[in-house]
Amino acid sequence: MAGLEWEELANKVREEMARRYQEGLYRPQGLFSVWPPLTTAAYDEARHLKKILLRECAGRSLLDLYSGRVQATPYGQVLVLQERRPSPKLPLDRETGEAWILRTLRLLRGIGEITETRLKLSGYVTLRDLLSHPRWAWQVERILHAVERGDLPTLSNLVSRWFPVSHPIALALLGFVDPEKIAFLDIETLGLYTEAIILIGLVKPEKENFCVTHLVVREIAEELPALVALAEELRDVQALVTYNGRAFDVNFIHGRFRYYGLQHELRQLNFDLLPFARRYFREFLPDCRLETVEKALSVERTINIPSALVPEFYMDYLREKNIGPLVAIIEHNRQDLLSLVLLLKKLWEELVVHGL
Amino acid sequence: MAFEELLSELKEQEWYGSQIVATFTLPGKPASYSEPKTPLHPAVQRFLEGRGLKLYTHQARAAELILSGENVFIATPTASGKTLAFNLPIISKLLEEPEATALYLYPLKALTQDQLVKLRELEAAVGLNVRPEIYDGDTPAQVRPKIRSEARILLTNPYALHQYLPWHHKWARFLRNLKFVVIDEAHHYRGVFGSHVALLLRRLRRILSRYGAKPQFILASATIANPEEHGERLIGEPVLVVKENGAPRGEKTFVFWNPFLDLEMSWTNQVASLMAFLIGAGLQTLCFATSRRLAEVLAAYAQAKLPGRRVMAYRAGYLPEERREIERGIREGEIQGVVATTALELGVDIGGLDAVILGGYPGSIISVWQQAGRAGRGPKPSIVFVVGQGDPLDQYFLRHPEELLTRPQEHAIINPKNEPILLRQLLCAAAEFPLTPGDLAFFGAEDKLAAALLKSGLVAQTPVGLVYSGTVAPVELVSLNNLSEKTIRIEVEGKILETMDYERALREAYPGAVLLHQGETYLVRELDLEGGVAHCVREDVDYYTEPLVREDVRILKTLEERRFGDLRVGLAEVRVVEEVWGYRVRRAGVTLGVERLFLPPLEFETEGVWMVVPEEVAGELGPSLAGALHGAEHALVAMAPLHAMADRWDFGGVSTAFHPDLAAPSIIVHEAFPNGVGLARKLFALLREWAEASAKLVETCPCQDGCPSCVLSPRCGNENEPMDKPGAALLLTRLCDFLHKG
Repeated sequence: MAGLEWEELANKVREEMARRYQEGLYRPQGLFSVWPPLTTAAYDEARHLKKILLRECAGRSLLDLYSGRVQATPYGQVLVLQERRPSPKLPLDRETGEAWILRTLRLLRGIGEITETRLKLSGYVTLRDLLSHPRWAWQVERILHAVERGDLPTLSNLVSRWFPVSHPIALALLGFVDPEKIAFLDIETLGLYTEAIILIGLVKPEKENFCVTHLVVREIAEELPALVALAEELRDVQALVTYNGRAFDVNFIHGRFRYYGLQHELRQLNFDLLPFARRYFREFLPDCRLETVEKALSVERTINIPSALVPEFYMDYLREKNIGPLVAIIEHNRQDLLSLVLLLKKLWEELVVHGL
Repeated sequence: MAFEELLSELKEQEWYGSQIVATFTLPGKPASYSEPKTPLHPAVQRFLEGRGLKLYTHQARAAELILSGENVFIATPTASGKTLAFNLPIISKLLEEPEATALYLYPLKALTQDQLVKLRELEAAVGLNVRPEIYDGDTPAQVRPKIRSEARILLTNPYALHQYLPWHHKWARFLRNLKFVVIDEAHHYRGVFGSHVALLLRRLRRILSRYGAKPQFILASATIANPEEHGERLIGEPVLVVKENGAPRGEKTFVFWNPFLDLEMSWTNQVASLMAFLIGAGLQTLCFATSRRLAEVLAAYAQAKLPGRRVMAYRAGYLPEERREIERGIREGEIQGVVATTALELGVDIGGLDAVILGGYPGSIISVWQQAGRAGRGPKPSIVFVVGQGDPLDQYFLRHPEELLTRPQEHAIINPKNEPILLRQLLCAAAEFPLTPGDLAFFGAEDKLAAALLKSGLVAQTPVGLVYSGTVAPVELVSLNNLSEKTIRIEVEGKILETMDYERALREAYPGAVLLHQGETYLVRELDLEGGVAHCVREDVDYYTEPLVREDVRILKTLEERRFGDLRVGLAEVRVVEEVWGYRVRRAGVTLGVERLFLPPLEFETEGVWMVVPEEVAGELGPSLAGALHGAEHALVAMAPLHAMADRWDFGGVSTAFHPDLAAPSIIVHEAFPNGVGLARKLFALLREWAEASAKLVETCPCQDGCPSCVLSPRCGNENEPMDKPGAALLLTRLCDFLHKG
């Protein structure tokens, strides 16, 4: 068959895809309630924004607008945008984390709510007090040892064995992590299943600043380099902070590594804030999408597009060869990340500190 | 002959009107047994000994080939013990290798149920714990992870496999250890569906190679003409064929019955009477009907003639529990008669029956033998009645009964190179792993295809291969039978009566339609296509309804054109638009009225053959041109299946005195399913034979003005108007003359 005929067939499939994509926009996304159905008004607004950005960005490159560099990997290049912004310190502290562990006698096998209450009434207020208790001492020793060493995997296993993922004690563990070894992570993709990752956003707290890093997939061929660069960025990171990352971001990243035949896994502990946000905001918010939660935190978005439109904007960027729509995606992602930082502060204060 | 007495008794019935036109008896054959040269696992041998089972030659041969690591295609008749032939060596292997797994594919969900039961029995009998499980769309979410991590035999269907392949990592254990892929009912994988499945299996093989697995493929099917070719095309690797049947066969009597020799008794009444007679004579009888409606009507008629006995209808669309119950009733003899659609043709386990009635030519010789094969239990004699309908092919076989029994089975035609199918499946593959040049060759994709995909932006070039870059998962875009996956629930007072696919619902469940379900009539009040539901009410009516379909065929592009003098014939890509624009209300064959409908049309693209009638022939026909074209079109459509080795449902046609794309009087015969699988190409290659057979059909038919055996089509959307039989005969003869002149 002639090349032209193949092209016609391929275009037919592309049109079908565009139609399916459009249909999907207005339907609630069953799998992840994080993506809301789109309203016509929001769509129009986003299109208007796209028009402006296309005009403003014509002929410009991302490095005109952002500081960054092109990084080489064994699999090709990827664009790394980096920005440092001064920021108040994260309130996380080890004392609070330890306090949660120490006062939670239920971390011991054999101690339930009733026994815990009874023990506390008998004067065994913290795990340390139980060191003198003939029955529990040996288990306590192991836990205290883990606390002293800041052995996060052991503590996390222990906590997840006895408590739901949304329990404040699960978040309190973050106190054991040096803030400079935490990374906030959020990705943008072309779909929800087997499509490509087009942007990886990271925020890493430093001594005085936050370092916001974006690995930009300027063309699909840069997805694999971006994944490899991500692995590099996360090498010394002990904990990830995400929003729905347990179900989505981390899984999706693993899926993409597998797709490329690499057996890489993000082994960091994943502090997915979604369950904590649900626990805290449930009573006064209609849903727990990041955008809704943001409003409760009084975050204002300057440039924003609905998440569901990210694929469309990226395709427009590729087709028009104009970074405008890509800038919107980067800004959208940056805002998600910054909101995530604020949300962590809020949840730490409300659930972890107040909860003590 | 074993049934002499029965037949003479039949001839004495007062309603008998000499309809029997021929009787043949195929001799029986004793069983031939042998032992596999490679021994089965001792536990399996003990199982066989314990049950007193000996292997037939084909079972032994299949077992030894499977045990020695070959791809095997078992193509033997219905009820010859194919299932045991592959289950024994597979279980044997699973006993030897405690990690090994096997995947069983069935074209219909209903069949996986039967197989599961058999495997569980076998598993228990040999003391093995392989946990066979069904895994498909109906599998509850909470048991899925457990099945994925524990089952060693998984039963599923191609639709489900298509959806699950992108999630292969969840199946890592199962895939890594996969030793066998069983493809049962392999003759079912033909046409568009078969071509998709062939490429789906290549996707599976490519993924498996990543997990270091290279399973054997085991195919089983009814007898087809080309098992070697079909097997190799389907799985992409050579297969060894086992087709000599060692199972015993009882003597089988075929009785050909021409119901049109008695015009006083309706066709339905004759078949029902015949069925009642056979059941009355103590024979458990299965009657095959060519449509769901007919199955319902016949079952009701026969039941009315047999108070105190149970006659049931059995067809696709019934809920699984209902079907299980009927199957059990048949097996246990509680139900003496059953009228089924082709749903029962496939390996549903009901055992053998004493008598089978073929209520019309089922559309292919493969099906004839599948249906006839339901008659007979081991070496016991059985009887098969072939009752013709009015259709041209039925009549042809009633005039030449020996042909029905001697004609070879059809070829199963698939085309994994079919462009639209290949392109779509390749996209699915690209979303599973990047496509390397080696992968492209593996799928049989030429460079131009890859270039077109790149240009469209559906994939992107990367150093590791082509990477899918679309915004919708391609498995969501690709449907294996190219028909919509949408199903419509038929509901009565909020309860589901049955389900239908979208296309069928447009034709059968339109507002106002009368639906039959186990003999009861239901009126469709509303068809909500968006919501996927047809709301019905139970109501006794004495009329039935028939859809009126308008078909429009446009030529998109002529791929090849041939000239025979002034006759032009072309092979073309066409767009077919079918619209159910109304329905007829009928009682006892009389039209009481026509109602208008407003339903969305069904559109698809496929391939067809067009013929432009030379001006001189058009001139010769004068005012009878339109009727002649119409009649010739019906005859050509009627004879197309014989030449393209296909089913009668695989073709459609239009004729017009002026076609907008050809600007002339023309006939177009096209494939009835989207995208075309090569049937039109086959007709285009066999133009002369095809036209000659059609001309002969019309010329030799003894009727005066056309009858359903020649130019009248029961499926015609224009009520067979206008129609001119002599004109059609003349037109076809002229076409043959041109084709001869070359």
